[in-house]
Amino acid sequence: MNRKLNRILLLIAIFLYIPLGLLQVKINYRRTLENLESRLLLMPGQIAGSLVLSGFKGIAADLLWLNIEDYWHKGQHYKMLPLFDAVSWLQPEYITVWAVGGWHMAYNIFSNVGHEADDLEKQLDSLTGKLSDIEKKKILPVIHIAEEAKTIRENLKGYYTKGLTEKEQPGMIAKLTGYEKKLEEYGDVNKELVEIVKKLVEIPYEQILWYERGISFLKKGVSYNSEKYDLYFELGWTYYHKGQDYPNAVKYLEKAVKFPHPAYVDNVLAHAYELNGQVDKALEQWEKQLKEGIFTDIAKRAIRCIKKEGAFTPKKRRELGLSN
Amino acid sequence: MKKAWVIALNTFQESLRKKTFYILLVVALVVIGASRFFSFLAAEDEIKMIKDVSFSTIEFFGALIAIFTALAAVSGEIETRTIYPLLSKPITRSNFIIGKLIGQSLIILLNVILMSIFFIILLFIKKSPPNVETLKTILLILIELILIGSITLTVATFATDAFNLIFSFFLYIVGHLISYGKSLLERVENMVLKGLGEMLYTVVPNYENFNIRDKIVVGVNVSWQYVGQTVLYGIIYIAIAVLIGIYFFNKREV
Repeated sequence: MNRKLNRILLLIAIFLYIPLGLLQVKINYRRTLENLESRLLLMPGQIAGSLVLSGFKGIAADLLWLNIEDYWHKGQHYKMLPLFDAVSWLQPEYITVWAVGGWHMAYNIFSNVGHEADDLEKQLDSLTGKLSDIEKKKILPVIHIAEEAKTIRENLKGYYTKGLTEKEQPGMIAKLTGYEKKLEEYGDVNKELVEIVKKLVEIPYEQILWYERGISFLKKGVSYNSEKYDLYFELGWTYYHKGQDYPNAVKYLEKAVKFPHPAYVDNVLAHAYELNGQVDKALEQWEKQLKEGIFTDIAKRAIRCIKKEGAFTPKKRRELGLSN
Repeated sequence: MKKAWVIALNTFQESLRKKTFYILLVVALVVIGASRFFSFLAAEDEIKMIKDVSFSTIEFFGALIAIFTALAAVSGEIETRTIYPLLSKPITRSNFIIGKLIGQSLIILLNVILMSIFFIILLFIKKSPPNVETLKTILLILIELILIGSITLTVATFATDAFNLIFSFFLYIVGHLISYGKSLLERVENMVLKGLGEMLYTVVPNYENFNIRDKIVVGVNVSWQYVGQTVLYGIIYIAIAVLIGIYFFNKREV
């Protein structure tokens, strides 16, 4: 091949970079449009970091997920938190990480925080048992705060929690902050006892924060996966089941049913309507399910109960003094 | 073209005789098969991990096969001196390069097909048959591997094997990172630096364009328009690599 032709080949090669550059602009635009842009996560000293560098973000996310599984089985919930952030950063469309992360925060860590209270209660009982009547009288407001804090903690336990709804929370936090301030005044009277009560007051405060953290994590997940029912449902369910916050539960469950979803989502929405006081909508929802042949036995029973007795959900029936 | 095809078939058969190809293929299949060990996870997570491991294995081992095949394609012929009788025949140097490219592409294709079949069988065993998105991912990996091979082949026309090997791996990493450089470039104020950066951004192959697997495994759908544009990007880049390869091979004293 002569030199001239060879140079022409090189010129053609260089010239081809022009359409290539233009095509890259189009590809970048489509990557943004179709949410295909990937994110970089550098973790010096960790294997995941080097994998990410080579374009194996999926594998890096999987390794981190395996770590999460490991910490979960060892009960080391706090260690999982930065990993949840890392996996959700690498693969924000990985729904499981948002759902499980939110669940761990709002349920498991929430419950773990509460477990400390049992030991503290025992220590408090032993200390108050040793006090003379005069000493007890001096510290009576502190003991009263400890009892109040116990009631709040009891309300946060079990199936029917109290104090987690958007309406109740500000009052609850103000109450707990007030207790903390009041306890400062008694620090000199009996330091050891006051410190224990302080910790007991901090527990429900911390529980509320973990519940809120779980909710925020799920909301963040929703912002990345707004075209699927999954995280709307998880969020709605957490509000419904953990927070007993029915207005918010209805808000997110209504969004969940707008996308293709399994039948149980309709079922939960009907329950949430009823507990939110929207009995007409609950009936409408049950009738819709009956028409579509979803959970027909339950739907028939729900319609009959609501029409005859005014309640179907166990909580509502309990409130009205009806048998379940 | 007929002459190039003869060289292509010869390259394909030569590569099939090499043990490296089988060793890499067997290791890759073992790694894909090992992804079944994630059965302790929830079904959904297990499928995701099988897909992640399999796609990454197809790409990583595919890249190794592409690089080693391309390395052997030119330097192997020179070392064994088989290139001299070949070039003394009525075969142009461009025929030789194009033939080598087609031959190594066939090997890459065979390797991707074998690994994909194994991966798809695994998906069927797990009752999660592949969808069209899985096939789009494999298609883009295939084009990326052919591109990697063609660049290695081009560098082989003027550089030593050691340099080529290091350069190909370095380019593989940089090619995956280059997309992150774009956002950094937007913040550079010095016009000269920005211009140089933009040039580098266009010249270095953007391998991240072909990476849709991280999204596919979590259920994101990718349009055919994106796949089409990326395939076209790959084809243009392969054409550039081949033209540069022919240019340097024509200048080389063999």
